[in-house]
Amino acid sequence: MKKYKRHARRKRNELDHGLIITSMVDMFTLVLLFLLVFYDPSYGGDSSMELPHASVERAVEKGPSVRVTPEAVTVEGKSVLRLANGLVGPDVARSGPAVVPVVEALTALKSTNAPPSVDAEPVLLVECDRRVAWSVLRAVLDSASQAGYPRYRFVVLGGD
Amino acid sequence: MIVRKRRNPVGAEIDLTPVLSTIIHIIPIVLIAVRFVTMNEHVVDRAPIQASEAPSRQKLDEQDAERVVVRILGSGFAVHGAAEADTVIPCRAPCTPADYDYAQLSDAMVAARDRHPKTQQVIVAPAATVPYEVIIGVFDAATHRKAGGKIEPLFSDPVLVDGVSEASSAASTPATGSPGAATPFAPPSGVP
Repeated sequence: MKKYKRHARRKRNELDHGLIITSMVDMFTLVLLFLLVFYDPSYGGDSSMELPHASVERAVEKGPSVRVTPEAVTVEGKSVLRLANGLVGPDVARSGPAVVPVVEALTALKSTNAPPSVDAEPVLLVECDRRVAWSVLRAVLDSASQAGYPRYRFVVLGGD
Repeated sequence: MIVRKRRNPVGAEIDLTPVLSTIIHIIPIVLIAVRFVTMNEHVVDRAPIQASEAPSRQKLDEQDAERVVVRILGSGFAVHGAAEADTVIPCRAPCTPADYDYAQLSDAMVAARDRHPKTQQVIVAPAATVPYEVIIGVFDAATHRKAGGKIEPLFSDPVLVDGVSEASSAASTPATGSPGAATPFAPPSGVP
């Protein structure tokens, strides 16, 4: 009887250890770190924006960006021009083909974002909705050129 | 002398349950915030060329005999190489962005690449109403071609030019694949 009680106590002590969750915490910590590394809080995702698909495989580099949707043109998240029915309104100030409010916003942006080297021409990231007409995009690109951004990168969704 | 017994013996494990609980709560929040899309880019190294900057027709001919131009019209594509007839690729009715024939355009670009091996430049001239989606489709077809898992580079230097008016392009557009009906190429305003 005494021997049986000692055996039962030992058995209970073995079972009291509980679930070992250290490895699970390790795994979840790694998952969390992975997600945090790829999470870019500066990218303000826009659910109304529909980027076009392309099979190009060049990854997007960081840089100043302009976003063109059928509703508005935004520079670094700040709306600078409202579009009327997907077009630049007739009452908007123009400088040739360029649009003055966009030129002003991009000029201000350029003064705060110096290119990596003196010789390097600044590059503008263009996030444009797939439905936007060329006439609007052209006005934005002309504005960028006037503001000192002669080179640009079209942001697209990867994959075929 | 009173000796107090240690409540937690040395070597006892830290209770990780709250840590695990916190992490499990944070992960769904981050997952909701993250957009799992691959964002790539087409690089264009020049600003669109405007009509006012366009050189004369004679200068154009002298400057670049290797010019390849893709015009994007409301009715399809027109591909033109120097001293060649236009290859017109009409789109299916009702000519939405999905109705443009990118496969045929890709074939036309491969043929243009073979005829013009020296140049890397392709001029893309969209009409004013053409959606951006179609322009990117043309960039895709003009810059590379994917075949059998391999990427075949075509024209690495796409240049956007000031648009072409539908009326003028229609006037100079011959029938598809009929060289006999070809008219001299009239470049869109702004072609370098």
